[in-house]
Amino acid sequence: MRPEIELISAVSRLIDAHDTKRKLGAPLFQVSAPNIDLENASNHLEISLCILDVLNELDEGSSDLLHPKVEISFQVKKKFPKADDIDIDYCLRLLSQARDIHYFPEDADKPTTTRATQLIERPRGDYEQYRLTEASRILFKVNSLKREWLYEDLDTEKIIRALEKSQFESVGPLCAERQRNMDALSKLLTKIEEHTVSFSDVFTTKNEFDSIKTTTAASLEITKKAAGMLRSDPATESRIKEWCDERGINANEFRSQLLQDCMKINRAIDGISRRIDRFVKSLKSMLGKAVAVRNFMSIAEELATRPRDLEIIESYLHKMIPIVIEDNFFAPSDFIESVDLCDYQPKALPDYACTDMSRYVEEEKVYMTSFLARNRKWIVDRLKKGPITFQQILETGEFEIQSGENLSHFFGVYAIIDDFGETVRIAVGITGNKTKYRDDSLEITGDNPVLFLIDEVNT
Amino acid sequence: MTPRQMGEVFEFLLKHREASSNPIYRSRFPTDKNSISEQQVVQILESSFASDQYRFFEDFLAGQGFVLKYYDSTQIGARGEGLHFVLARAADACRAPLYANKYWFDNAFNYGQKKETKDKKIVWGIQLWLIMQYLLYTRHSRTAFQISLFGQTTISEAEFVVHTVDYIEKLRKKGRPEGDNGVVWDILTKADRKEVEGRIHKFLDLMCTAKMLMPIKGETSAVYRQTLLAAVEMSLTAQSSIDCLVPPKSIEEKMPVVTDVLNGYVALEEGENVSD
Repeated sequence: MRPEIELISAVSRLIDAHDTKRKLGAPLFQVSAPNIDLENASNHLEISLCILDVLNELDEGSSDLLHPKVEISFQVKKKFPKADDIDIDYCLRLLSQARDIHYFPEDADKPTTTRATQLIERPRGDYEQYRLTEASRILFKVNSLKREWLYEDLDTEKIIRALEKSQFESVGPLCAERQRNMDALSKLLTKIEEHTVSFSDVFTTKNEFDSIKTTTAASLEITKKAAGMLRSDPATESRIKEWCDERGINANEFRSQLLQDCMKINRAIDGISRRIDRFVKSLKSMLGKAVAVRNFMSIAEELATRPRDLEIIESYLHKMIPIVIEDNFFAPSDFIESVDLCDYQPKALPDYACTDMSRYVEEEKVYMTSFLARNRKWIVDRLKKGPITFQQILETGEFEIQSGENLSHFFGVYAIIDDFGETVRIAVGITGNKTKYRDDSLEITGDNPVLFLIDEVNT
Repeated sequence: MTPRQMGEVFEFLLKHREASSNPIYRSRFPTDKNSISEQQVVQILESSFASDQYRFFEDFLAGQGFVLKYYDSTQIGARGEGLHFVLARAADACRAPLYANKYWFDNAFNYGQKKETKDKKIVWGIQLWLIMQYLLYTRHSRTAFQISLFGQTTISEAEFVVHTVDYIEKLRKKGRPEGDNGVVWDILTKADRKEVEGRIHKFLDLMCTAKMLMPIKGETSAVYRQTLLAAVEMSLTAQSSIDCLVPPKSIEEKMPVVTDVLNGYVALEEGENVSD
């Protein structure tokens, strides 16, 4: 949508409200708006916008220049070939009519009327010439500023200027305004990311977006500078003190408040900058079209009434239904040789004291693998019945321990995952639980991993 | 992020599936004595952004069939500061065997104490899932990508029942499809209102167990809010183009039908309006 149409759309309901035919106190049945013929309305709006555009272009930066109707008409037809002279003439007259707008001035309880809203004017005289008015110049100004105002942050420097010129009362509102800008930009990015609008609907070119990125980065530097001034610049500190003394305010508290405001907006800008970086990385997927809502109910109905193999439906069910994890364990096979393990500790030390065990891992792995190999038949038979925790294995006492080994060798081994035979693998997973085990000579505390079979047996 | 922290973060995320510096629509997860706190999880992840360890952690998660997504508060429709991590199921990845769906088939799709046939489990599972998505998305004119509406999207048990009962009645009126095409129809239309209520009650309970929904406190009837995790997983499902669920009516129709069916979206053509 063109920016000028967006602007018109933005205020259109306000105009409806102003022009409403509803009597005060009448019940609300429907929104009062004039009946509109689509073709007619589009033509007149387009011709009117073209007239303003043409006058602006003919001005070439100057103001108060008068332009003959013939030339305006010629240029409008170039832009919008469907326009004819009668329609152009009508629109020229329409735009040059003053329009009454009734409103309540601030702090007044009686309405007043302004008539200064004609968009072009025709000076008195015989020549049919037109020029833009201040009202239309405001329209152009707002139009050109719109993106900057909404999505860029050109005015962050005002915070610095306010600090330099002792206009400290402005800092809070300026920061709040910046925050609103960040929120607007953020919402816009969300809309694009969520595909409710497409990137190309909002930004005509990627360069346009890149300029926002640059501006945001600059804003971040400016807010950092402002925070720096408030934190440690003696001149700023002195100005704040003087300003506060005049008003009987505690200077330290006030400076602290200003600093908080600046830091808040600094974090907001920092957040949006990081988000823009991520956004740019995934921009390719954002360039696509906007998407529409899907009717899941009709999909359900289709499934119920049209042929489909239940096996295929089952495979999709497996893909869609959420994961439920009954036991809090996992198989950290990728952490082998790098995870730091909770080790057994002598009795005197507190339970669950942890130490970096990376240097012991290899040794422990050897012990554990050897243990598993030695006790293969027994352990596989046991695991075929279901997972077993390490403590449960130790408590059975049915395994074989060689001389030189004690139970402590098997603690902290949850990183072990190894091929075990051709069809069975044993995975060892963290449970988050701890175990204590008393041996003749040791009292051991440590993790209580769970062992389970994977591949053919358990899946 | 040290390997130990990776393990601790993973343990936390596996349990709660989310970690947030400033939780939205929920209170902070309680910390149990053997685990690190939610705040610590966020701090560890945030401080290691873009590091090799973080990438290693992501690789590890990918191996388990998970993906770690993160959002700023503003990105997911909340005001103020906050960073939110979600451990979501990676839509197209192979899942580690220990996260198999056995649980669902053992519990979720069983109605009452009866031993269900597998066909029944499959049919009720997919149908209730789709009706729930209708209530969470279609009804609110929401696309599957609109994560930011998760907190505002609620579902009540009563309306779930009404929609399902109405839907089954509609199927009855439509009549049974011929031959084997009526398998799903047969299973659904045999259910009475009481059975539908029982199944939905159980389904919603399990959706809460799976962290897809959370009950809204203070409501007199059972009302649930969609979780951030559920919204994220739905958007991933949409991206991964799960298709083909609806069979084509004929060979000619095959190509257009198979795409986008379960994606929760359809791409608009040039000039087409989102609201059309």
